[in-house]
Amino acid sequence: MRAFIFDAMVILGTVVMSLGVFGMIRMPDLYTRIHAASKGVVLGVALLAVAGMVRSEWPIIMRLLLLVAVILLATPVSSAAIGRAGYLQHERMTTPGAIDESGSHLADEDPAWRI
Amino acid sequence: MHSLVYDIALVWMTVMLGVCVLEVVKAKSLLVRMLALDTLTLVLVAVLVLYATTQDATYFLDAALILALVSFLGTVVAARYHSEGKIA
Repeated sequence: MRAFIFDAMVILGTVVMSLGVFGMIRMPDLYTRIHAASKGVVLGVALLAVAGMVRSEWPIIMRLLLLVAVILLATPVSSAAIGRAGYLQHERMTTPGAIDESGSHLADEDPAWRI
Repeated sequence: MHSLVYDIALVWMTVMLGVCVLEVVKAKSLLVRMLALDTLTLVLVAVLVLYATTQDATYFLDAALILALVSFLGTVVAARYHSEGKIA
């Protein structure tokens, strides 16, 4: 049973993490790339840590909890720093239909479906 | 334990490491390169977690923790220096 849960969690974590990496290389824009990478990869690492917690002893479980806590706290901060740097450097939004609501006109044009 | 799922997951994560390295080399802007380096480090942390939990070796988890902390610090410092010209 534990081996089955371990296998399922490893498969799920690998799939989520590869979705994050795929979004990081295929999205058209810096901001959407941040959106893909910072969520998908972190959730993949967390699922792999859960998979490790299923079949391990207490020292490994405590280290994995600390690692997941550190990653869940650190990655939003670093992603926000990268996004803020892109915003301050006037990195353009090239995603189709993007809206810049801050008034700096980083998106290309007003999309047709805006009310 | 040495299962087929573990082998396939480790090989696939190595492929993702190669993809991230390729993205670091081929990125058009500097911020995308920083983001790709951050993602590369997270994938490396995932490889270390999987290897350590299947081999019952705790020291790889210590290495993964320090790698995550150093990657966080480096990304934040590089992004702030790139945007504002100063760090603190």
